[in-house]
Amino acid sequence: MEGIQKVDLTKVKPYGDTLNDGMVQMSFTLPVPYGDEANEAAKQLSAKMGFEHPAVVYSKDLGIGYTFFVMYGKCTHTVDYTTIKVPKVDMEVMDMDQVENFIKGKIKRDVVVVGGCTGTDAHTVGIDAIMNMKGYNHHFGLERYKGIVALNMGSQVPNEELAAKAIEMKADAILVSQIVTQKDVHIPNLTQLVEILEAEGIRDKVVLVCGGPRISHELAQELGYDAGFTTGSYADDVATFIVEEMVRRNLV
Amino acid sequence: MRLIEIIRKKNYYTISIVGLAKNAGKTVTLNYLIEEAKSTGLSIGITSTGRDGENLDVVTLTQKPLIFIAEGMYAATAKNALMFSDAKLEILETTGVYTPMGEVIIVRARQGGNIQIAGPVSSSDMKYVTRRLKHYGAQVVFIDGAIDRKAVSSPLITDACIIATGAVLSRDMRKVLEITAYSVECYTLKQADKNIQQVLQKQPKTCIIKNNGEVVVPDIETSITGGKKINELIDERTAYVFIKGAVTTSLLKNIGENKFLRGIKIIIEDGTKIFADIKLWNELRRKGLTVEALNAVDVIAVTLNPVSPQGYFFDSNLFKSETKKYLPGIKVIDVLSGGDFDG
Repeated sequence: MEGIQKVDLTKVKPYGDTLNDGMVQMSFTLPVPYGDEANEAAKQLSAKMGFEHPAVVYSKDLGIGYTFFVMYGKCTHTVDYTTIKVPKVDMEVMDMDQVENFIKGKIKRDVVVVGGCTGTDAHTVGIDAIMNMKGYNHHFGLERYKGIVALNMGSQVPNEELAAKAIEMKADAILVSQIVTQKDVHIPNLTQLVEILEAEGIRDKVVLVCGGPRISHELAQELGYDAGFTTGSYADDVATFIVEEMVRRNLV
Repeated sequence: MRLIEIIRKKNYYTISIVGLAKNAGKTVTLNYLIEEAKSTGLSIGITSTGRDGENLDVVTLTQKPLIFIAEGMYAATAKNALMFSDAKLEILETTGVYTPMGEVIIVRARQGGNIQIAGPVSSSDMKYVTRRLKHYGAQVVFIDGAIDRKAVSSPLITDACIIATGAVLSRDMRKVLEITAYSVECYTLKQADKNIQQVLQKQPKTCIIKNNGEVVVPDIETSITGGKKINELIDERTAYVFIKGAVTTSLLKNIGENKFLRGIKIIIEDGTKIFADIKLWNELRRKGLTVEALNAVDVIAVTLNPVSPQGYFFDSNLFKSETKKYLPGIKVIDVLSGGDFDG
């Protein structure tokens, strides 16, 4: 068809009503009292962020001198989508039956997995989705797997307790979930576990996996983990990685 | 004496650079060392426990320093990091050591350029990889740390370490100095006597040694949860308590309650094994806690980064002179400005 604009993947920008119009909706709060001056401040700030024609479409007094804004603006920047490379866990995912058969055939004993949501984080949706028997979104959790002994330690588990439990149970894999954290506190929290495992001399004996919305496989490298799984991963992904890594590293 | 001369004189082969936080200036320190080593004609190998040389940080999205590898230098880096490098590299070996970014590969630069280094994530793999770098001809290997990970600086893995600290730790300079001093104190603990070292070489488990030389091994899986049991075994005849592995806050709390605290010496493996809360540590030291290390870590320098990516900075001269006051006898270098001419 003629007249239809083609997407240029080397210069991608937001889509609102038409291609490449750059329209963005965003919201934020400023510590200023509600009023015309507040709206002007929000507009000026949005302009500084690089938005053209910033507009306040909604603002609300939050009380005690704070105002909430919903803004529209046109983004003037583009990214080159064609040059983006994101490292991912590179494997063919097995389903539950395949993992169970893999354990039976190649590992020939129970695989012990200890997991928890560590540090200050009390949000267990991630670790529950991976570990709990009922699983999530039609993917059963690790507790359901034949040949896997899974212990979910729950929320706000101190790193030292997780490490001690892993030693006590002679764990083959440790799973750590970090969902909601502030000011990047999940980073030193995740590295501390690695350091304790190193100090205890068991880092080489376990498959160490982290997961959460702000975790990536790339970040896992920096943190010292064997793999990092982000939103959209299921027990199958994690189980496949654990059993294959165990065989590759000769931990059977 | 310049840093590189110290490394040569002491015949050190592996040097780890550990940071007290992200953006403390580890990679700037690495680049500084590379420059220094090049000027002395040393053959250098580089690697990292995390990932370095990419221009944007994966956590903070702040700019990171690039790493330039000159012709003849060696590097150990993961396959996927290699893809992002523009230096012309000769592949010497695929090591069989895996990281989230792929297998670690040992290369030599045939033509200089920027390189991304992502090395082994575990300490024992790191030890193996540094030996391979030596095998191919590297005379000194620099290991760039990651975030605040310190395990690689254990004397079992590397010969000496450099601690990178900076304004990023806190807006309050006092606090930065306090954390830095604590870390240096842990690293530079006095080494235990020769005779006790000999006893412990035969006893690689957490144990209690009495005045008469009798060794008691508590029935625990790990010292992390064994604090209470260890505590019960300490009495007036206890001379040493050897802690194998991690020395955690809860363990120290337990031992700190012991009424014979003043009469005993705690021996730990090395300074990288301490995970104690800084307040508790200082409190117990005041109460008379004595800690010695089986293996000493040689901290050959502390490097400073007076700039924080959060948009504030310290006066560079003041930061340096204050750090020197807090760390007598330790070489302090501001790697951003000036280097180490004044020793």
